[in-house]
Amino acid sequence: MSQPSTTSTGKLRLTQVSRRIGAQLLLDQLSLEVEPGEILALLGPSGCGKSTTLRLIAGLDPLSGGAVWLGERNLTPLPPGERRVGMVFQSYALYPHLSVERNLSLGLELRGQNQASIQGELQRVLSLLELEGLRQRRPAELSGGQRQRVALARALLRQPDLFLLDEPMSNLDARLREDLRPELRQLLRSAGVPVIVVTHDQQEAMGLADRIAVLQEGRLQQLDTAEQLYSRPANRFVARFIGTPSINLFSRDGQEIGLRPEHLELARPDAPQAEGWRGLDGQISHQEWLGDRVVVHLTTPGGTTLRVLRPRPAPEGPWQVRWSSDAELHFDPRTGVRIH
Amino acid sequence: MRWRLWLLIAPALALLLALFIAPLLHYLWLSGHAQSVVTGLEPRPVGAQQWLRLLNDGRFWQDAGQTLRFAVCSVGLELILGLAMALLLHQPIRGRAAIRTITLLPWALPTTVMALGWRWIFNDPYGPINQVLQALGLQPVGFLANPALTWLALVWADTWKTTPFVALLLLAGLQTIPEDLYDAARLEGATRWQCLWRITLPLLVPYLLIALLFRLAQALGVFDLIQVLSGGGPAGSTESLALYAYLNAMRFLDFGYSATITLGSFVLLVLLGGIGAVLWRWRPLAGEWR
Repeated sequence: MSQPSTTSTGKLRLTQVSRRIGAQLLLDQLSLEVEPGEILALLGPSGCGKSTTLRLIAGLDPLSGGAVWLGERNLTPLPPGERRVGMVFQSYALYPHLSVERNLSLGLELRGQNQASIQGELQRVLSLLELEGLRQRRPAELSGGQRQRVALARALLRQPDLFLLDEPMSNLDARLREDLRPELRQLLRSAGVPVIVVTHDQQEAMGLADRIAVLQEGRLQQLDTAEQLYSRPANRFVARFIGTPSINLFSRDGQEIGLRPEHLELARPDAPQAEGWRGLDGQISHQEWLGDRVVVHLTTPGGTTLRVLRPRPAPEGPWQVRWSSDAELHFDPRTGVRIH
Repeated sequence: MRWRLWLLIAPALALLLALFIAPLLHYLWLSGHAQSVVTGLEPRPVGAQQWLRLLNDGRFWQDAGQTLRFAVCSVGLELILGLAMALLLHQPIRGRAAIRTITLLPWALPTTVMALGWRWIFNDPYGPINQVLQALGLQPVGFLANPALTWLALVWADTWKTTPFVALLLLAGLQTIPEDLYDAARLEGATRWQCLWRITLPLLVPYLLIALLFRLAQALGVFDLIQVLSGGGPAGSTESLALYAYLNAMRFLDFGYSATITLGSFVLLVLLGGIGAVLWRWRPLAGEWR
């Protein structure tokens, strides 16, 4: 019996969700909402609470405060088995002693579903993820990409009301990751349920998600689209975390100024300066090839290091770093909050 | 190129020859010779005579049965209790390291010492168990004088000593199973019992097998425990094959027949191993647990 996924699914809502172990606060009153069909990325450095959040939503760890809602259903008191959550673990958590087929069907068997309907649903996800040829293989006989597809298939098979993915790509090589991203995005979106992807990789977050929640030390820093996070970061942490090469930060007149490397230009010190532009003299310390572009590192007489992103390496000689004052981000030096 | 490979395995091969093949060949030779007090301890060729004697030796077959009974019961009990103990020790409880160390103590005792200890505990009527029984107004029990009880006392003492070893082996196996698998199963609504049967036990099979082989090999060759605790008695009811071979060589000074008994036991063991291997490969028994 396959339940239509549209009726029970609704908006995922976290209200002031906290997780505390002893005196340690792993997650501090996180509130957020994810619409059905929307993909939200939880992004942050390790230990920021993103995986904790996922485990709390899945019911694998108990909440210390707050509540998790899915549509009209309060998930908070439910055990993980009753939450109808499809989860992909970072390790994929495939059962090593079972074939692909049995890895997928074990959950349905445990629920006492009859063999005929299990076979039907199995066939559906196996063909959806192009795994039919691998039915009888054990996880050890699969490549990393195939394992990831099996883990996805297992999550899909349950027709979940909610999708949770913990670093789904981190075990794949960079090339495969890039190839699979659009495919995964398409697949997740077509499920029509709220999706949360945990990642420490900003490119993955931007490539997969509609909105990104940046976390640090258990606190939500900013929840916005990739574009907004990039151009209007809420604070110094977000500004530094998003963007490669990372933002230039220096003090001027009691304020902290942030400048993206691609907004900086190099000019000869005696070249005329346009209106509304500022400049700082600098000496090239070294240049770094990124393949298609070059990061030029300069040191100013004041001792500040600036990174400038250019299409080509810069020749030797005295330089002035210039930028339009519109490109400046201003942060409160004490709190780190962006003020302009 | 070939001779270099042989050169590399030569030390191991030499050791195997000296410690395993050579004694085996010597015993094979000896089983075809009478060498006892009757022959003045000089080997005298007798052909297959001693092997025929073995086939018709009721004591040999009785001992074989008794050895098997002891091994199957004690190893079976050790595996079940060892598994329970390992699951318990795997739980995140306070002072886990200390508890693990303490549980291992019986295994650290020399068999002779612990066998003497148990002989005293089972002593009739002065041992602690009988003291308690008498204090409760019950009749003392002759644990080591009743054939129906003595072999159970031996199984018990062996289980007491070796269960921690099995538990340690299985605990090592438990620690190789990733927590994620249980999380995934919980999301599927699996109960703890289902997790045990569907995940833990199948993944523990290699470790259970190692424990089983180690323990069976030891238990089928049991000597010291029985020699000290019951001496094979009462009335030979707990005598093992190893003890019978020992008695022939060291007490009856019949080295030729002792060698025949030892080789006979060896053949039985190989047969047993063969049956085990066939069962292991037998599909209906294997399934996904392998």
